[in-house]
Amino acid sequence: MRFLFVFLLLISRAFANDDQALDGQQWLQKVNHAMKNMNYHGTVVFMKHGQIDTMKYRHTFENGVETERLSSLNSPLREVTRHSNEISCLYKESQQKVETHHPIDRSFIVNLPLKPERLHDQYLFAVAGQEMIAMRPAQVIAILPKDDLRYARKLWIDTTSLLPLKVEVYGQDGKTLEQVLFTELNLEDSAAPSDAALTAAEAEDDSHQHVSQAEAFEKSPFELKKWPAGFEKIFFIRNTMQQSKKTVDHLLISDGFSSVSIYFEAKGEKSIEGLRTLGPVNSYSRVIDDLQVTALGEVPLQTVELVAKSVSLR
Amino acid sequence: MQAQQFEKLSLLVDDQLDKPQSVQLLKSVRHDPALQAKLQRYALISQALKGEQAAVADLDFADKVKQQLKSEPVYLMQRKKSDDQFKKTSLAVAASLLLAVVGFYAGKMHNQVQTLAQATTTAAAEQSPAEQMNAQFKEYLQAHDNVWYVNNNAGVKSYARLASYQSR
Repeated sequence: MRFLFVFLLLISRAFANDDQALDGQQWLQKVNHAMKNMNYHGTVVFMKHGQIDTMKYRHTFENGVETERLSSLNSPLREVTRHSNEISCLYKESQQKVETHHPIDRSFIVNLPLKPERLHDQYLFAVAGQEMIAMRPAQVIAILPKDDLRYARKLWIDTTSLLPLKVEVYGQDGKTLEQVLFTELNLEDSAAPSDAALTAAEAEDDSHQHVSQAEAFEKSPFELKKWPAGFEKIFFIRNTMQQSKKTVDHLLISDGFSSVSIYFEAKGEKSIEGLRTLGPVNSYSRVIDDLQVTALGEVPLQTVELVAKSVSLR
Repeated sequence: MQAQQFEKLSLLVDDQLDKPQSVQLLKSVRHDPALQAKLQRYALISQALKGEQAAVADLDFADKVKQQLKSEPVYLMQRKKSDDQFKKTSLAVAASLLLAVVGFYAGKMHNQVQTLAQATTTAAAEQSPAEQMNAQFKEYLQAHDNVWYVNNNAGVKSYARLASYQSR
C-alpha cells in the first residue's frame, strides 16, 4: 500500500511538474509549435477600436503546410483562407474574391518568435498564474518589454493543448489595444506531432523565412543606421502597390512579436511627412531628397519615428 | 316658535336645511340679534365638533367691512390711452425690429455661406493630400500585413491580430 502511494505521488508530481517547471520562454516555444502543427477549430472574437468581429476558425496542418480559415459570422460575410503565405478572401455577398501573398507566413491569431530566448534583453517573459478561458484552464504568460519601443502583451495558453486561447496587446498607457479570444476551441483527431515532425516543421517555417533578402538591402541605395535592439531584417522586396500601381521598396524588420515596415518610394507631387496612428499601428513619414520614406508598424510612435529617422541614402 | 327657529339654525349649520327654508331663516336672523348670537354659537360648536379651527367673526363683522369699503378713498386717475393705439405702436416697433434682425442675419448668413464655401473649397483643396495620405497609409498597411488587405472592403479595421513573423 505504501509503495502504491509513493508511486502515485511520484506520477502526479511528474505530471504536475511537466507544466509548472516551464518558464515563460518555454511556454512560448511550446505554444508556437502547437498552434502551427495541430489541427483545431473554434470560434474566435477579434476586438479592436471598440469593434468586435466574431469568426469561425479552423487550422489544419498537412504535409508540412499550414492552412487557416476564418469565416465571419456577421456582415460583411467573408471567408479568409491562408494556405502557407497565400491568402484569399471571398466576400460572400458580392462574390468578390481577393488573392494575395506575403513573403512570410503570418498567423491570423498570433505570431511568436521561435527563439524567445534571443529576446531576453528586450522582453521579460513572466509566468503569471492560471485562468479559465473558454472553459479551459489557461496559463497566463506576460510578455513585458524592457524598453518603451514595443508593446506589452499577455498570452493565455491552454494547458492541455498548449494552444493560444487569448491574446491581449497593451498600449503604453496600459489600455488594451487589441484582443483575440477563443470562445470555443475544439481539437481535431490528429496525432500529436513528434519531435521529428516539429523539427521538420521548423525547417519548413525557416524555408519560408528565407525570403529575407538582407543582402539585397545592403546593396540598395538605402541605409538603415539604427533600429530597436532585437529587431532583425526579415525581407527586402520591390512591390507594386495594388491601387496606385506605384513601385515601392519594402523592408520588413521584426523582433518576432512586432514588425516594422519601411517603405521607400519616389516623392510625389505632394510629399507626406509626420506621424500617423491607427490603433496599435503607427507610421512616420519623411522626405529625403526625392525619396519618400515611411516607417509603419504595430509599435509605439517613438519606434517608427526612430526607424524612419535612421534611414539615409548611401 | 323660537325653539323651532333654533332647531332650524342647528339644521342650517349642519347643512341639512333646504334652500327655501335656509333663505327664510337667514332673513329672520338678519333682524333678530338673539338668532344671530345663537347662529354664532351653533357655528362655533359645529366647528369644534368637526375638529376644525374655530374662526368665528364678530356679529358686526359684515357691518365693519361695509363701513371700511364706504370709507375707502377714491383716486381720480388719468384715463389710460386706448389699447388699440398701444398695439399699433407695438406692432410697428416689432415689425421694425424683425426687419432689422432679419436683415442682419441675412447678411451674416450670406457671409457664413461664403465662409463655408471658402472653407469647403479649402477643405476640398486640402482633401487631396489627406486622401492621398489615407490611400497610401492603407496600401502600406496592406503590404505590411495581409490581414489588413483582405479586410480592406470593410474599412481599415482589423479583424485579426498584430502582424509579426517567425523569428529564427
